[in-house]
Amino acid sequence: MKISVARDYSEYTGLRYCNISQHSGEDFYHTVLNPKFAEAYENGEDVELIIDGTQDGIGPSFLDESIGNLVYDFTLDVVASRLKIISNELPQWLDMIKEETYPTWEERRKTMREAKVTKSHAPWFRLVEGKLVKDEWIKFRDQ
Amino acid sequence: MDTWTANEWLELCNAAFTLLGIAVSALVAYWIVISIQKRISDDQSLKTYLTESLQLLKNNYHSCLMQLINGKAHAKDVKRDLNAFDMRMREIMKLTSTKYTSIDEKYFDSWKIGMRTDVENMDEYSESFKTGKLAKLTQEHQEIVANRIGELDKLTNQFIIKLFKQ
Repeated sequence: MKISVARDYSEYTGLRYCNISQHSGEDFYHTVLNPKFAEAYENGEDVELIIDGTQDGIGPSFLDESIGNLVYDFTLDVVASRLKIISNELPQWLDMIKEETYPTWEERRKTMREAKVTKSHAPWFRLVEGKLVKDEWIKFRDQ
Repeated sequence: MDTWTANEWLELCNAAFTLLGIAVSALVAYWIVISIQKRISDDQSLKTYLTESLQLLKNNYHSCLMQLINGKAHAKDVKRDLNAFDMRMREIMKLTSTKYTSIDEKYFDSWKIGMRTDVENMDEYSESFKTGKLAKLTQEHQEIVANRIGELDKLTNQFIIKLFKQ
């Protein structure tokens, strides 16, 4: 399965959270990456995520939030073995994801330090004891 | 009538071949020298091109980040410009490492990742992104960005030295 940020989500990307910008990493995760990755997982497919092609480029906070959440919900083992991230334009992000995002979010997962949500999201998938379970895992609390 | 003996003909042929050999050797030597000079000249030209391209790009980064420090930049413009510069740098480094294989094409990647991450983690930057207003960095954040500019200067100088040692 191929997912292109530019084609399947938006040609313009924002920053980390929904409450900061449109087309944030948080939004991309909940609306595109989580459901598509779950579908691919169910079908035994790998996922190719193409991050090139956006009009104004893609930033580290967008990538860290979206892929980090994926690690949190599916574990590093599953994500690292099934997700291939493609970038010819900005390959430095591939190193950042591998060396910083992956270990940081796996640690968060193990210590149950949950992601932040800045708005309510529809129920999303999480791998629980090897099975896909859909729920509103983190409730948004408007402060 | 005087006719040449076989020995004399042989000597004449030998002399002619010797002269031809000398001429060919001279031509080959000339071609080698010209080729080497051209290669050195092409190599110097390429290094000069790469250096000038990188200096120009460094100035682009400087200008963008200084505008951010001075409160004269909008976050969305900064994002767009830094992405464009990152892509341009990638192209320069790809070319460099293809020709000079001891130079890593990822030479500047740590700096790019660190600088972009620092900037995107700044609340004032996020606020600017959200509101469309100019980003007004705190003193502390201005220093962080200024340090990143300094690092880029140092990396660029070290790169140029390394390049001309190739």
